[in-house]
Order: sequence, then C-alpha cells, then structure tokens
Amino acid sequence: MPGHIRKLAGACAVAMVLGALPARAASSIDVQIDRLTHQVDRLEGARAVRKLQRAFGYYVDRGLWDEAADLFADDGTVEIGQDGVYVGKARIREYLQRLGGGRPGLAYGQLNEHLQLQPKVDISEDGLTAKARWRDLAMLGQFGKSAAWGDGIYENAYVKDRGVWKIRSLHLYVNFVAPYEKGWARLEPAAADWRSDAARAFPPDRPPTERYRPFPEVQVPPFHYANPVTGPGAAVRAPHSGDPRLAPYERRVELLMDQDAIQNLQAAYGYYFDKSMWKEVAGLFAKDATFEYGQRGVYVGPDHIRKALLLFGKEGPEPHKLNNYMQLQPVIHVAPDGRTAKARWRSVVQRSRPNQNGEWGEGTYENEYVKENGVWKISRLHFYVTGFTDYDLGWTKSAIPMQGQSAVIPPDRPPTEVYRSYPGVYIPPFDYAHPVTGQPMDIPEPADSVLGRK
Amino acid sequence: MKALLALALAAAAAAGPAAAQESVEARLKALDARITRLEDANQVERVQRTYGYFVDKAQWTKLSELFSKDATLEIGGRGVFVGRDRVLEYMHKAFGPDGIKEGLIINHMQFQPIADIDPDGLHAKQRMRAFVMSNGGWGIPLYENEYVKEDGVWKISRLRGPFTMYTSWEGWAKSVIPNTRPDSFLPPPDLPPTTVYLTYPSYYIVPFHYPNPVTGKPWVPRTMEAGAYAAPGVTAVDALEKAGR
Repeated sequence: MPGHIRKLAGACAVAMVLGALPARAASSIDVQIDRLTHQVDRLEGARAVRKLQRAFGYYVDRGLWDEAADLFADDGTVEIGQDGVYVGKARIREYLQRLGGGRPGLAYGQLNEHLQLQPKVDISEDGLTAKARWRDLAMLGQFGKSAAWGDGIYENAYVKDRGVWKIRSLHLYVNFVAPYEKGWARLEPAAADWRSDAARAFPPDRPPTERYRPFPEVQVPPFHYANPVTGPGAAVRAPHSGDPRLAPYERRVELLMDQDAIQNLQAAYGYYFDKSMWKEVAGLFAKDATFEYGQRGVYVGPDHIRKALLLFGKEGPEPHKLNNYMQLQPVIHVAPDGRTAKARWRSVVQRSRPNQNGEWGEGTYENEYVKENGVWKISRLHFYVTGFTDYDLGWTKSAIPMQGQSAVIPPDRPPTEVYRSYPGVYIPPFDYAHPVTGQPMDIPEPADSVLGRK
Repeated sequence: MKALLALALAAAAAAGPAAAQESVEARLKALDARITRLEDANQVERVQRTYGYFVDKAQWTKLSELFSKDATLEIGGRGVFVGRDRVLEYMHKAFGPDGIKEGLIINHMQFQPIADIDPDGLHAKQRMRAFVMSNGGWGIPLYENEYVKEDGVWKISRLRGPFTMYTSWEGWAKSVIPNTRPDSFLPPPDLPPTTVYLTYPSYYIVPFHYPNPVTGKPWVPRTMEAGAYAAPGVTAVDALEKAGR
C-alpha cells in the first residue's frame, strides 16, 4: 500500500475509534449519574426485598408451596424454630408442604395465615445483598378442632442474582404458637424437644443454627444490625454533585432514602421495646425528644425517657413477660428540606406479665423525627391508646383503663390531650393532609359522655 | 497527513460534547422514571393505609374522597358499587353517619402491601391485607386493588376486598361468620359479585396481580367452582388439568 494511503487509512482508523469511544468516559457528570443511579438501584432493591417477603407470606397462606419455594436462591435455606436447616429449593418445598399440612393447597377448614410485618430492611453498600428483620403474626388452625396464634421474628438474608432478588436464607425464630383458648399467658414451658412433626418425619440437612426456647422462656433473636442511632452506621445521604442538572434528582433520591430510614428506625424501636431493652430504646431519641404514652404525661430527653420506660417493667426480658408492641401501617412524610419528618403508625399489642392474664391492645402513634448529621432520630413519640382488653373476655366484656401520671416517676408535663381509651373513643389528630383533596383533616372529636365532650 | 489527522481529531471532538449532552438527558430521563415509580409506589401505600385509618374512626366522607369518580367498591360478597357517590352511600347507609361511637372498636388495619406501578405510570395495582379487630371478633379480608393517577394525584379506582375469614371472640376453631351477600344489608349493589367464592372454612385463592417475583411466571387464576371441597384449590385444579379440561 502506498505510504500516503497507509497514513490516510491510519488517520481514518484513529478518527473512527475516537468517534466511537463513549465521550462520557471522560465526563464527570456521567460519573455522578452513575453514583445516583446506584442509590436508585439500592432503593429498588429494598422495595424488591419487601415484595419478596410479603409474596412468600401470601403464597404460604394458600398452600402454594411451589411458588413459595421458587422465591429462594438455588442454595437457599429455611430454618424454623428448632427444626434445623433445609437447603435448596426441592428440600424447602417439601418441608414447607409438610409443615403446612402435607398436601398442595390447604385442607378444608384449615387456616394457615402468616402475616409478614414490620420490616427493617438493610441493603448492602454494593446493592447486591440484603438483610431484614420481620415479624410473623400467625393465625393457624383447623375448623372444629383447633385454633392458635403464632408469634415469631425472622432474620432473613437476600441476594440479587443476575439482576433478580431472591431469598437467600429464611430464619424464623418461633416465639410461641399458643392455643386460641387461654392464649400465651397460660402457656407451659415447651418440651425439651419442641421440633415440629414435619421435622421429625423429614429431618433437616443441618442441625439448628442456635438453640433457644420458646415463650414463656426468654429468647431474643439476634439482630443483624447495630442500634440505628447509637451504633456505627452510614449517614443517610444521596450523592451531592453540585451540578444543577442533578440537584433535583439527588434531592428526590435522598427523600426516598429518608423514608426507608425512618421505616427502619421505627421498626427497630418496636423490636427493642418488645424485649424491654430500654437502653437501646432510649438511644433512638434525639437530645430534647419527648415520649408520651396514653395519659401518663410527657417525658423530655433521653435520660428521663429511659427512666420512664421502667414504668413498663424492669430492663430486659423476663420469663412469662410478653411485651409485643408491633409497629405497623406507617404513613411517613419527610419535610421537603429533608431535616424533619412525621409519621402515623399503629400498634397491635400482645401483653402478659408473670401470674397475670394476657391482654390485647391497640393504639396510634403520631411521631416526629429529626435528622442530625445524616442520622434519623425520634424527636417525638406520642402513643395514643385506643384500648386494652383481657385476652379471654374480649372487648364486649373487658375494657382495661389507661394508667394516669406516675407519682414514682413523674412526667415533665401533663398529657397533651386528655381522652379516654375504650370504651371511650378518640381520633388522634392526623399530622398530614388528605392524600387526595389536599385539605387538612380537621376531624371533630366524637362525643364522650364521661369527659363531657359533645 | 498531519492535517488529515488533525481534521479527524477535530471531528471526533466536535461530535463528543453533543453526544454526551444527549446521553446525559436520556440518562436523566430514565432515572426520573425510576425515581417517580418509587415515589408513586410509596404514595399508593399511603393512600391505602389512610383508607384504613379512616375506616377505624368511621370517617366515610373523607374515605370516599380517596376514590376516583368512577371507582368501584366490592367488599366481601356484597356485590359491586359503582362510582364514588355510591361508595359514600354504601358506607353511610350500612354504617351510619361519620364518626366513631363510644363503645365501638372497628379497626381495619392495613398490612403487607405489594404495590406495582403500571408501565404507563398512571395506573397501579396493590395486593394488601386487612386485619380486623372489633367488638364482634376478628376478620381477615384480602385486597387486590387498583389505583389511578389523575392530575398527579393517586386515587383508589377499584377496591376489591374478598374475605378470607371472619370469626367471633370465640375463635376460628369454634365460630365462623359466613361471607356477606348482596342482600345482607342495605343498600343493594349496582352489580352482582364479580366472583362467587366461599370463605373459611373453605378458601379461595384471590388472583395475584403480579407474576412470581423470581420466576416471572404469571398467575393463572384457578377456575374451580366455589364449593366446599375436602381439599379445594390447588388439588381440584390439578385434577381438572390432568383430566384435560
């Protein structure tokens, strides 16, 4: 080839290569978009994990064992109670079916509801794995024969496998399965070997990961996370590029991260509260935070809050003490400046104390949160008691009144509002406007014949 | 030769920023869609949870305002009520005026949402459950609802809440409260029930709006009759499929 043509060909080749090179390799805004996209990946991951676990529950509810087992990674595991570890989808499927009655679907008259509640989901920094703590509230039974409530805590792991999120390990720490008649308060300690019949007939691949005993004995399922406030942890921050083209997206991503962080924070509150871990509970509050429960008045600051928690019993779990305050149904609104937030939650309460009968309760939270140095903390916890009732007697026969202000550990301020719990009625004011009309809720309080409210 | 190379380099450089600009816009547009979908899913969850908070305190007017104008409501076996005005009429006639009365607990607690936004970004579906704690006992309805985004505002367009089980305080071993019917109480519906199904002690598999999250296999609705079989649901369908029907 003549020299000048060779050089021309070379120049053209260089031009073609230069033209084909992604110009963005040199562009810093593309790198910034990559960083922001990565946080969106992680937000979608958290949502995918919540969907996976909830879908698991809905399949198990109807005996769809194939569909439930399909949610697991190929090397996935299931461990429930002291039954041991089942490895791989085929074994998981067989075990779930045996546990659920031994047939595809349910039997006539069978109830097998496993409500999947109170997620605290943590996605890894690289966005490829996750861990989550959940609560399992179970309604089990066979019409004409038996009915039972179940309570347990999941510590699960998830993995993103070639773009698809799957359950890596499901570990349900069974707290109790209590007969509907008499309930958890009159449970006797379990037998030494409290494996299920399914596990006896169909032994696991590995023995249980750890030994523990069900309620009424003490168990605290290990936490996959440190205290979200007092423990070491990453600040909740979206990338901040300084580029005005990216700023609106970065703000929106951070608000979404804030929303998830607050859901996690309140779930963590509940899991500590369940086990009377008052030091950990108090650690979730900001410096001038307030705590108000029912008509006990307002406690100000983490030190005084920690003292006030003793009104719920001594620090730490004890046998025959059940203190489940489930953290449910959140409606979270983060302020546009991302510094504060408000949320309405509710709690279904399962309680018992040694030598006392069990109680059901329910209430509404109207809470406030503050973000300090990238860490969300509770600035106001306000629990409005709807009512408490004796486990056996139920609402038509038993209304347990709220306690008033303690003389032993008095509050800093009287109650913000005076109201009665059941049989009285009260509508805890909404912190947010109507989601459709945008109008303030402004709901008038119902009449109360005792308080004289019209 | 050097001139040719210089020309080639200049051409590549000129093409560079223009290509990057388009690329950035396209990337941001795609990111915006993903962020919007996350925001929308959060809002659809808020709307349904607010529905529950309104039911708890008998706030029927505010509850009806969560619905789009042509929305439908179908709870239990009562049949279908068409339009927001009829939703409000259903609530008021069946349950009385707004406001919870002393001595009543009617908690319809909203749990376990699976919300999926349609690709058009204007419609959504959500599977959710209610956990009812009331003076009357316990209940577990299940929802497969639809939502519409009108002028940027998410509303309920279809509320469909078939019951799984209702029972008194005696508990579900001893006591069953059967499903409601179109004639259970006033007002009568606009349309008959979309599906006839039985509640506990039988069961019905409420069709899933989503495919299996891992395998992607879409849910095939079971077309079994609403009967009280010894082992209904999956087994009955398997038998029918094996018989080639």
